[in-house]
Amino acid sequence: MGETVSHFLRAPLDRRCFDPFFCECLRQTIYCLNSLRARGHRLPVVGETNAASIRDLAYGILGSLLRTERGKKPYHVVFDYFSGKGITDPRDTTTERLGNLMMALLWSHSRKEIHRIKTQEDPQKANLKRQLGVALDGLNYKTETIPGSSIEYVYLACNSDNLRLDCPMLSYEGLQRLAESAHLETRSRSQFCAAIFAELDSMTEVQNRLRRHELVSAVVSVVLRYMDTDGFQTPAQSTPEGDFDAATINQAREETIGWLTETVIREFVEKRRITREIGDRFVLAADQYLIDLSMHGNTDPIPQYFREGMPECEHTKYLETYKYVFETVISRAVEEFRRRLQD
Amino acid sequence: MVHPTKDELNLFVGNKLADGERVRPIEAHIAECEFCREYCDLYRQEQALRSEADVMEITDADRLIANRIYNQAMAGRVISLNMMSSAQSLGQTLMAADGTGKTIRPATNLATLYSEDPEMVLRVMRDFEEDIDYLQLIGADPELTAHVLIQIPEIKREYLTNDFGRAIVPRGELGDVETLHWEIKMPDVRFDLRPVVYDPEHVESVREVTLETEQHDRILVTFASKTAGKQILIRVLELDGQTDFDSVRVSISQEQLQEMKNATPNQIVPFAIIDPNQGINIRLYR
Repeated sequence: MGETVSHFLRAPLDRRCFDPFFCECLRQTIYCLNSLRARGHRLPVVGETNAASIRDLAYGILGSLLRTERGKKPYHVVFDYFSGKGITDPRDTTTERLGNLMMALLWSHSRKEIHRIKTQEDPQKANLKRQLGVALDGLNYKTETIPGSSIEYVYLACNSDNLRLDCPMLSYEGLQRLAESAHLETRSRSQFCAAIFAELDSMTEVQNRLRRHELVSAVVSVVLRYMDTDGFQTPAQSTPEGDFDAATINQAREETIGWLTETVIREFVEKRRITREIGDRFVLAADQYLIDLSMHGNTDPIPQYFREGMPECEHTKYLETYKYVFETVISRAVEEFRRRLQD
Repeated sequence: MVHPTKDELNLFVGNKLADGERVRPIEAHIAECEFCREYCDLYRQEQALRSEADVMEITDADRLIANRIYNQAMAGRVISLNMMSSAQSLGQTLMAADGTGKTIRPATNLATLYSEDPEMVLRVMRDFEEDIDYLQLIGADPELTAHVLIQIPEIKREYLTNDFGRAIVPRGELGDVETLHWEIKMPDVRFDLRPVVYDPEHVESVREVTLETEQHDRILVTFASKTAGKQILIRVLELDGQTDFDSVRVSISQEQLQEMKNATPNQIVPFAIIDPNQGINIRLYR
């Protein structure tokens, strides 16, 4: 890999350098995708085991990674990445390092593209959310916000003076089950919401109000599952976090990463625990971690992100030198990300 | 036994443990440790996927994608050419005629220029028999040599190459070729029309067709019937998603036909009669 990358970086417009580079990138991207799939990641392809679909997804990923926008230098994403690592002349760097960096770029770009494809706003879902909003803003319901919090609660207008605020909130899983059974009995969105609240009213052990975003999420997940025909949407697995506006999640993630660079990473660099370059790689790994967390609600084991970001580093070196710093970076990032989402 | 290190497990899975005595304790540990067993399974799986990827065949579809990405990188690019010294170039060259038994056509190499990335050679030739000068662009990839502009900015000249990378130059137009600065301008936008194969199930024909690229370049192509064949009319509707742009050069190429004209937004530009049985290459240069 390293040799091929080196040739490409030296003569990117030469077909004899570009073609082997493209082939190597394609092979390694397909490897990344198969590896993610084997570890339980859901890929945005039709038929999870379909090799042709995986290849199509790899084409999309490489199309974006190796793109050349008008007026920019050729393959600017790749060249910007390497120059960001201080590599302007590949002859000054070992081929092993070039290969490792390229693999790290392929991993991170594959994950980013999968995330981007999955979070593209589904117009059907957006339409459903809008219609639900109209129903919940009608006369039958009331929405209110607790001072000092941005969470909105919704309840039946007729219960305004009869809210069971001393009881616990219905769990999201409980709400999903409620939505499932209400959906079977009703024929319209307004009936659907009414049926959920009627059932909730009878459950005297829990509050008779709901968090509005959880209600919308549960309804959307049930309705879309029944309407779903294209095989790879998985609304049944949606979570309240998953139904946050994709832009909100991305913004929170970007802000978290900016904060992480300026605080946690900076401190470690100043204390000489890690170099600036390794700090940059940790930031990239933390970004991947947050993407997986926001997308799937779960992640790979932390060392996996380290290995993808620093493939040249052996596991023993990780345990001896980087484990504490890396785990601190990830846990602080997660903490901050969650805090920003709650805000 | 405490958990073996990941490096040890990796070596164990790959049968590469240098210390043979470590094998048995690790085997025993794996037999009872769910975590290490799972790790070994995952590592084996990763290795298998990696090996699978390493031997993966490259298909025609893969090559098409590579072409698209490469052409995107080359679009609109200007490649400077360096003059090859007389010692490096072949100097006086005789070009072989096309076929046995025919007379040798004498041609002289006036200059040879080259670029390293991409690797290309331009030869400036004089054909005494035909009494013409011509430019011959040579490269490994025909996409880089066909339908490109060879420019000499200082004397404001440009020549469009044909399917074979050749462009004719009127005699005496170039002057002292070795003192000029030469460059190659790749097309910004490419459209290729291929002749329709007759299909009895689909006999309707269209006179107009709109062609569009992924970068939101859009042109309207109209075929006007003439007794001698078809005239082609081009209207550039959008460039880079913009309907308001400065003029753009449009070239039409068929094997025997090369024509280039300037076009302003929405201007209808007529081109010569074309042969409807041959492919048509349309290129835009900004």
